[in-house]
Amino acid sequence: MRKVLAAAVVVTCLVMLSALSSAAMLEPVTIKYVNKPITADNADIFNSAKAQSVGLISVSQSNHLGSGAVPAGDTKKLQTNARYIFDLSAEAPAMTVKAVHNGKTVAIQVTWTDKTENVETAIDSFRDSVALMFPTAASEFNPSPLMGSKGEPVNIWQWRADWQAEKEGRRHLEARQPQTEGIHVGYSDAIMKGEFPGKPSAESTTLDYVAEGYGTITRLKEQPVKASGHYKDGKWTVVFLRDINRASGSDAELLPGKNTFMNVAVWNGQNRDVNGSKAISTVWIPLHIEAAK
Amino acid sequence: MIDVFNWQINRKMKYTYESPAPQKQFAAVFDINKCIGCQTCTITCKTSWTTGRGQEYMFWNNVESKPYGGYPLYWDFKLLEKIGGGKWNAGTYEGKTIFEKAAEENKNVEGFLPDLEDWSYPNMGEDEIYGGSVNKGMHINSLPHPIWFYYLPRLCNHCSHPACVANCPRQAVYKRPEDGIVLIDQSRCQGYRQCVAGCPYKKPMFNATTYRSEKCVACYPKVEQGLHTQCMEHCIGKIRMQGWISPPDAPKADNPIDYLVHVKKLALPLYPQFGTQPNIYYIPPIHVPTPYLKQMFGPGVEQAIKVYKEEVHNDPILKGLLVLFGSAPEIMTKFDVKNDVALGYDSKGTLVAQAPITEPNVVRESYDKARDAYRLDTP
Repeated sequence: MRKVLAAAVVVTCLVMLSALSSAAMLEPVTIKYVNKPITADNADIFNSAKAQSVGLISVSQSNHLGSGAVPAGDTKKLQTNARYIFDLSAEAPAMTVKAVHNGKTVAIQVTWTDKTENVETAIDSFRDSVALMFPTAASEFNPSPLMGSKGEPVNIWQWRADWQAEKEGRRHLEARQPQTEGIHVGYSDAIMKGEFPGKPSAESTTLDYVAEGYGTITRLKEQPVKASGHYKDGKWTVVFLRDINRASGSDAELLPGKNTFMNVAVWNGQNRDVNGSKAISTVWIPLHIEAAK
Repeated sequence: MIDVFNWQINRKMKYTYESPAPQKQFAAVFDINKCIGCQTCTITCKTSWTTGRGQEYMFWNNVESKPYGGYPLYWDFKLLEKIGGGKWNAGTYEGKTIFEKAAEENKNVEGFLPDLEDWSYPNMGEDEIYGGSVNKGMHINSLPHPIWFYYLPRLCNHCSHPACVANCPRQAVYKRPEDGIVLIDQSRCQGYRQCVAGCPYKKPMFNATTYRSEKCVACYPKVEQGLHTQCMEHCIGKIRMQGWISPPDAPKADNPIDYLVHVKKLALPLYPQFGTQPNIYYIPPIHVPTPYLKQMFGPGVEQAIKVYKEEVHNDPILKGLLVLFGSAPEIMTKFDVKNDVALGYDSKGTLVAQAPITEPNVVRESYDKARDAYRLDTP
C-alpha cells in the first residue's frame, strides 16, 4: 500500500493555501518580447526565452477512478473529509516554461516529463493533458488558486493529447470501444453532435474555459486559444498560442509591460488522471509580460 | 452528508444532498415471471436513443440472464463484494449502503469504473442455468425449481437518492423536481466518468466521441405527454406497468404502482441495500430459490412470492391489475376492476384501457350439426 506522507496537505485547507498563494518567493516567468512572426511550427521563437522550472505537486482524489486512489487507511490518519489531497510522496512531473510575444501573439511553451504517452479517452482510458490558468483581469492581486471564486473568475486553457492524436490521424474509435464496426449510425448522431459537439471544431486540440470556483468550469463561446503538442523521449512539449488582445472579458488579460499570474495543471492518463486528480503548481506564478519594443 | 430516510431499507442513511421528494416520482413495475427475454425493449430503446457514433456499445435498457449474465459484466457482484454484504433485521438493512461504505474512505459513493471488456458482451450468460444439468426424462414439478435462470430487464432506476448525482463533482447530473427523472446536462458534463463509477446499476455510460456521459432519459418527451416510455410501450410480454409512486406512508389504492408496491407488497426494489432507493420494482420470479432472490430484492421476497402464488387468483382487483399491464400507450395513473374487467385511466381520468380478466371464449363442437360435417380442431 502506497503511503501518503504525514506532511500531506489537505487542499481544502484554505488557511494553508492562502499562505502558499502569496507567491512572493517565486521568480516571475517572463513573457519575452521577440520581433519575429509567431506561429505554431516556428520553434526558433523560443531561442531567446529563458526556461523556467515550475514545481508541481501531485493531487490525489479519494474517489479516484483507478487503482491509484489514496488508501483509505491513510486518509483516516489525516483525519479529514477531503476528497482531494496533496500527495507529496507521489512523483510529480518536472516542468519548464518558456514564453514569448511579439506584440500581436503570445506563445507559451510548457515541457514536462511523462513516462507514457496516453492519447485515448474512452470507456476506461484517460488522456494526458495540460492546462494553464490565469486571472481574467490582470492586477496585483490574484484570485483563488482553486479555480477562482465567485466574482473573481479565472481563464483556463486546456490542451488534450487525445485531440492532438486525432488531428494527426492517430486515433481510431474501434480501438477504444466495443461494437463499433458495421453498426448503422442514425440521424440522432448529427442532431446530438450539432447541439453538443465533443470538440469546438474538428481541428481543435484545446479548450478555452472560464471558471469561478470548483464545479463551475464553462466552455467559452469564442475559442481563441490554439495549441500544439508532441511527445518525444519521455517528455511532452506543448505550445499554446493566443492573440495578445483577448476575444472576450472571460479571457485572460495579457498586457505588454504589465504583470499577471499563471497556474499549471498536468494530467497523466496512465494514472487515470481526470478532473481533480492531477499535478498542480498550487501557487500563482507571477507572470511578467515584457513591453513591446 | 445529510440524513435522509430510505423506506426500502427502513432506516435513515447518509446522503450527499438533501433530497426532497419530487412532485411526482417516475416508477414502474416489471413482472419477471412474464419476461421472455425477447429484447424488444432493448431494441426499441436502442433505435430511439443510441444510434450515434460513440453510442454503439450502449444499451440504456438491457435484459440480462441471471445468475450469470450482466451488462456490464458482474456489475452487481463486484459492488456487493465492495460493500461487504449485510444482514436484514425484520425489514431493516443493517449493512452498509454504498454511501455509508464510501464515507469510511472519504468518498461520496462506493463504486468502480467498469473496464472496456466488461461492456463488450451484453448477452453473456444468456439462458445459462444454475443448479446442475438437465437430464433426459427429467421433469420438474415443484416450486422453486432446482434448476433455474431468469431474465432481468434493466434500465435507469431514476433513484430517489441517486448515486450518479452524488458523485458528480460539478452537479451536471440532476433529478427533475417535476417527475423525478434523473438526467445528465450535456452542456455541463465534463466527462469525468464519476457518474459511471458511482451508479450501482451502471446506467450512465461514457460517449467517447462527445467526451461526455449519457444515460437513460426515461423517454421524458413521451412521459411529459402522459405516454409510456418506448421500452414500456413496446414490451411484447406486457410485463411492464409504468406510473408514479407515492411515498409509502401515503399510498393510493387506485394507483397501480402504489397498489403493487405499497399495498400488496408484490413488487420489490432491485438491490435495495445499495441505498439509492431505486424506482423500478420487480415481481420476483416464483421458480427461483429465495436466498438468491433475497440478495437481489431484499427481505420482501417470500411475502411477494406468497402473494403471487396464493392471492392473485382469489383477488379480482390484483388479478385485474396484472392483466392491465401493457394495455395502453398512455400512462395509467388510476385503475379499477369492475365485473371482471380491468379499467385503466390516464391522469385526466379518461378511460384508456379495458382488459377482461378472462378473455371471452367459445368451445366449438367438432361435429357441426347444421352442415353435418366434422371439424378437425387442433387442440
